[in-house]
Amino acid sequence: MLRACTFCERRCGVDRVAGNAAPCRLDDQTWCFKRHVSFAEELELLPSYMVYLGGCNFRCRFCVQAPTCFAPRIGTRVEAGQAARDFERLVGTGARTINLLGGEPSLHLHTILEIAAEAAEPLPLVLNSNMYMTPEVIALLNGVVGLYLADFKFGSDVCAASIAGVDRYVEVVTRNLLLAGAQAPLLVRHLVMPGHIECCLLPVAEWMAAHLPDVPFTLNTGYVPAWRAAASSDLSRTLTQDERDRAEAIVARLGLRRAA
Amino acid sequence: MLKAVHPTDGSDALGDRLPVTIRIGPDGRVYFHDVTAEMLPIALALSPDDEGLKQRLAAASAMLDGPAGANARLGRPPHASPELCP
Repeated sequence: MLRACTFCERRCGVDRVAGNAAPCRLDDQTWCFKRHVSFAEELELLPSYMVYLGGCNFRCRFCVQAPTCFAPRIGTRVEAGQAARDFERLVGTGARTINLLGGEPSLHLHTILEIAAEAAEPLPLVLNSNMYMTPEVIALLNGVVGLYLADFKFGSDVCAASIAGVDRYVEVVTRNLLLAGAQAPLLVRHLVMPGHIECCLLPVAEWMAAHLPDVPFTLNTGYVPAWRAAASSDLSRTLTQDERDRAEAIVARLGLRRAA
Repeated sequence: MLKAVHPTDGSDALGDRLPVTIRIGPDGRVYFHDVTAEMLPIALALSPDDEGLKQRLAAASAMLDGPAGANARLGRPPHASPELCP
């Protein structure tokens, strides 16, 4: 797959082994630009060892990790055996989960599979993903990823294209949520964006209620206008209290199961 | 932006320091990004009734100090069961 990349639904077909950079700017190397133990995730994941892998196929204007997360080679290069030992060490010191994020970690499928193969015991891997991968990627992660931590960011293709620069967002992500949820435990997050309650949160929550009502759902109302959002007229503020209240009311009305 | 001591192995891109961003919104809300275990007490001081933060602090203390440390930080007896996440 790396020879003609189909890791994500852009299906660019770039030969990443030959060193050709894909639209995500990645070749076949994986670099980690940050890692630390987090206590800010959902309680069931804590303590969670956060491993930030560089490179992303989205360009969300509000990304709090941007622009560092877009760079393919910042930090340290990930060598599978060494990473497996590192993850095992953290699990040994009390980390409950190894949280792979980025950037977009599914773009590093080959490295994740190598790490899993190098580990002496199955690792408690969490894939914190934008869920824009191909079904082939989900199939290959079967038995490797212990939990999908899915960011369901947009309820409309118009917003996804405008804010993150991706096409066919709703179709791809909803398909993948069903595939991933059939394969491993799933936890879905939605970051409420200012002015995007009716177009994004509402359809996201309605879809969750209709298709994945038993899946834990995290409503994040802590939006801050990071990176290019600060200069965007439509995303340059935090939520109002009224927006927070409306968001909470939607999730409560639809009876979504809230994650802790 | 503060530079907190890296809580694990000091191997992040910026050396042995982890950048922790704290933003204060115009409504007075405080937003922590990449908050370390050592900074959780600060967050809890800002929101002392937040049960989620209390549980996060307990989980952090249990990892760093063992159950006695968790209870000490929560003002509980040393041998009480820490409120670890389910």
